Amino acid sequence: MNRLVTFLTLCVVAIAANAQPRADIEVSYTAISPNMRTGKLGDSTHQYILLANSKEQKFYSPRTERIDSLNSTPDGEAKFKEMQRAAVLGGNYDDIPRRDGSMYVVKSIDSNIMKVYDSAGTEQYVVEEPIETIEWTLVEDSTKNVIGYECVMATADYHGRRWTAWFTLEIPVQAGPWKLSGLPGLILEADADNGVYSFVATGIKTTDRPIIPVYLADRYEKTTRKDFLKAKRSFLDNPLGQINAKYGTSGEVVSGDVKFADASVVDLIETDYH
Amino acid sequence: MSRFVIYVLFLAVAVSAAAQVNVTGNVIEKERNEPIVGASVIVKGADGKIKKFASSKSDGGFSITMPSANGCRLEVTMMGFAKQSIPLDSVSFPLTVYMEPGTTLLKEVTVKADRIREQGDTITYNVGSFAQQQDRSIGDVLKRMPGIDVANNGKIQYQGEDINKFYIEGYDLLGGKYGIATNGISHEDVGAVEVMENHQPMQVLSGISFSDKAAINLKLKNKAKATWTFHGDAGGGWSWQPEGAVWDGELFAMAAMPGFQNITTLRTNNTGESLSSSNTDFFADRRQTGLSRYVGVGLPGVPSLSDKRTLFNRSFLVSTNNLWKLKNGKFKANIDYSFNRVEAAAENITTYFLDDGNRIITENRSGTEHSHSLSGKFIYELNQKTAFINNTLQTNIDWDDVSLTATGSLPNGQSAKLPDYYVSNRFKMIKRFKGKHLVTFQSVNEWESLPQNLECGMLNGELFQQNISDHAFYYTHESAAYAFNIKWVTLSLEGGIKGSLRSMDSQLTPNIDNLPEELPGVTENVVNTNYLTVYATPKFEYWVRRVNLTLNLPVSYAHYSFDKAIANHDDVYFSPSLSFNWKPNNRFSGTLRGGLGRSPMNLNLIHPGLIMTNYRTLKSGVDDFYNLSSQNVSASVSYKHTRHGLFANGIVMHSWSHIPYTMAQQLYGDYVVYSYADAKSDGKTLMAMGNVGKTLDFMRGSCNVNGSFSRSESHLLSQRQSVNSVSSSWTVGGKISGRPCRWFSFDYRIDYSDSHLTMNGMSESWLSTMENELSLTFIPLSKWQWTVSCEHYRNELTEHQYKNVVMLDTKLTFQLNKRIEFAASLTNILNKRSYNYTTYSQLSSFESQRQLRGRQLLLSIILQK
Repeated sequence: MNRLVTFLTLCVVAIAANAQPRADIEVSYTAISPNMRTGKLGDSTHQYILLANSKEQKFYSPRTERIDSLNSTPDGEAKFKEMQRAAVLGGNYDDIPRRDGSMYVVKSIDSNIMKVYDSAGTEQYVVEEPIETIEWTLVEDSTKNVIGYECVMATADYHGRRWTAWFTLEIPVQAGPWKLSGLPGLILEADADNGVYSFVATGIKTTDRPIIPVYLADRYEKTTRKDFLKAKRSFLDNPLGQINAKYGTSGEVVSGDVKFADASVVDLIETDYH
Repeated sequence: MSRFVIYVLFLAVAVSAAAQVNVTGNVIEKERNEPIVGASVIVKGADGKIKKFASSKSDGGFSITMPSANGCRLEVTMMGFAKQSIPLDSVSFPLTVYMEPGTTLLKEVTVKADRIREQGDTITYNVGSFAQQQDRSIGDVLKRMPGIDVANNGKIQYQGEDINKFYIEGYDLLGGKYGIATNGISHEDVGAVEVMENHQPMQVLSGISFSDKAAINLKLKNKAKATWTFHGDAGGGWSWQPEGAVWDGELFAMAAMPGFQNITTLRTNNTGESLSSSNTDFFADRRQTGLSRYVGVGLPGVPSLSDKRTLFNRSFLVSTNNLWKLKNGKFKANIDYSFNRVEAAAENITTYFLDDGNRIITENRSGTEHSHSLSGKFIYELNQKTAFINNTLQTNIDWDDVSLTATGSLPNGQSAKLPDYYVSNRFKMIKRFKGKHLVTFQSVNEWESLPQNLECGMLNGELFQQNISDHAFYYTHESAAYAFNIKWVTLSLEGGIKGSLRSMDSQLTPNIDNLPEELPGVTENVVNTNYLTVYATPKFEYWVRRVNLTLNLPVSYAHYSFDKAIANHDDVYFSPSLSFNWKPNNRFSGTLRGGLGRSPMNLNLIHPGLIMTNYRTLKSGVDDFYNLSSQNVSASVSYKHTRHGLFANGIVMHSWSHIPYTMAQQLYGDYVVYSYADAKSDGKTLMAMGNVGKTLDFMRGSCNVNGSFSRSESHLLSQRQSVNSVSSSWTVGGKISGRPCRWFSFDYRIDYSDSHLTMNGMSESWLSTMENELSLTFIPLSKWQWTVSCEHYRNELTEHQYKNVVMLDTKLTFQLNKRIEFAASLTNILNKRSYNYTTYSQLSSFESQRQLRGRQLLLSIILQK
């Protein structure tokens, strides 16, 4: 039965895949962010993949996508719950399947639209906005080698933080990690405010993988960028409040202290919402 | 006038001050005349620096405003298109930039995917994350994957068990000769290796019959799919021993099309590389004809060093394998031919220190073996959920010619012609209906002829000729096989008849008169061994999610007729076996097995007369029909944690055998005669093995530790004395490989083994061998690669006396481009040409001299498509 489900799922994916645009390149990035509880820099890392061709781009976390893909079918969801249950019952808390990086950034160059799917606490939101032109300033005398590619430095102010990006002319794809793009080559490394947030490419290859849409996209609530950031902040400032509001009962602290640092200690990747 | 001049000047200055050049245009795909979106448009100054940039919009248009375009160039780039570069000095805007297809070469750096992933019963190994720079074939990379073990002969095991299928893109193109793929397919064409645990190859049995074997599937990269891939290499050079030119060549072509697969390969060398791993059928069923060679002449043994040090060969192999996907099922044709010529020589000098002076006995043996093998296999298979049909027609023709000469104290020449002709057809059909009922029909027909001819010439002019003609026809016709499945239980019953007709006759000429008088028996045999068996195999399988219990109860009645050689015989056999598998979770699996049984003796042993098997050995068979009995128990466990890249397995096995006859060895002059005496012979074997593998992600490497122990006890009669011998051995080994930085990778392996033999309680000393191998690869520049490797062997000859051998090799590779590569290798740099040693006892010394392959230089070119 399981085999059959897998097979059917594969068929569906295969059929769906034929209709999908295919990527030209696949780039893996490590995303480094501060610890939102302590503010300690470089404390949290997530693995992301960028699939890109000249018209479509998708920046996502493969581990998260796998879990979302499981949850998108009833059988998959059952299997996922079974995996969770087995891990908990077996005492292997390490093996509880967990989502990795939470966001998906999907860009369509043709229609000039960027969609960012992300979660703020227990809620999931999607922000749809036109692709902004980031005003990059090239610092051509600064070059750096990232995973074997000669990169040129560029800087820009973007949504409250000072970003430094390293892009390579050797890969003529105007794309990059997260929302960053608009340089005449692929961005392989970028950091904000001297490393509070950063993305570093760890691998690259040509590919023809389909760029599949975000699973369960209809579960994300539409909002604006600033409202999303505010929602995220309000969760960090009062996590139990939101949980209580949502579930009606008072949430219990299972382990440790559910407290996040104040925005003055460590803030979100975009800070222009205050 | 002057006013006007001033005015004009003013105007000019004003205009130039306000002058802004507007670099505008459109990017168009030349072939289709359509706008290109998202192309990078860059204006570079005379110094080559980027002045401004933009990207083409949805209509292909771009617009860049800048103060001046003097000396600037416009560059337009886009993935999949050739770069366009236009000087801006003498152009007018808007520009139309036509883009033509071109490739953007990426220096690929492996995308960080999990190195090992697990989904259900499938474990996926990411090939790129295990491959090292010096690896060529997918087989090289398989060896680095924890959980997977590739033996020296090319056989693949997963968690200590042989795999049961080897697929390429889900199709079983090569059957058991998967060595062609592991040695041939470039690892760069394979994206992932999938291991399918508990793989039941017959879909019709899925959910009904449990399989504890795993299968391997190679997932090709897109670039290798739906196209032909080729690679080939040609090398030539010089060898210092055997002195002369050496060659090494390979051609490999593969097509993995949607409706068709093909692998064709041609390999040849005389550099000591054995091709047998590409030519062995690892899934071959035992031939039911049951014939085996009586004549046993082999080349002198070689020292226990790796093959490539001791093999003096000329080898050639060609193999073509085709698979067509039909509307219903698939059709496969595998045709191979191989030729192998091997030479070996040995020199032994034994010196006896006697009171009246030393006595020296020398023996020089040298031999050549030519073997040809031609095989064809044609298979039709339909593998569906409700029906399975397989018809396999197979023919094998082998010729094996061996010639050996010995000079010295007992000079002689031997030459043997040992062809083997075999044809078989196997048909199997399984039909599943109403979901739970199975009906099977199977028919197997096999014919084999194994004539043997041995000529032995002694220096004194004696000439012996042993001729044997031996052929057999076997068939089984299984008319009733039925299975049904109720919830967790599958009950099945197979039954049928099988039979065999075999005739063997042998003559030794001239006859016994030339042999020592006291030698017993006749030297002619005319034997027919025929049987007809009616059998039934009830099978009970209990299968719930985590436990599988299988009970086999085969019972048969057999009638043997021997046409006067010995008395006819009737017997009933019953050999029950039970196996229990427990898989509490995805990580752990444990299996217990046990069985006992009775079986008829090997019918080849029935021959009253003597057969000469080599120049000084004669064998005679049993004079009665016997049955053997045996018991065995085994326990095995396996554990894996794919996210941590940890794989471990272990097995313990114990078996007992009871044979009512015992082999006896008797010397008559210079001749050894083996015969069988009516005495019980009990044997025991204990074996234990363990293996742990782990990925080392911090350096893209892996490591492995393994160990084994075995002890076996057997009986023999020698010179009418009963000899009880116990041989024990244990081994430990480990290997580690990795690539700690971009320009350096390494492989290290160590194996240690210790063995000893006890005869009638007299214990000989433990003798050990140790083997170390270290290989370092440097990548100083992206196109250059340099490997240096060292092997060290330490063989214990007698107690505390060791023979050490060190071998140094090096190889330099230059990759001109993606298609062409040059390599130069120098093996056995120290030019060690012989493996000599002398051992001493109180009254004698024994000196042995063997040849090794000397220094060898090989220059090769490697081409790839």
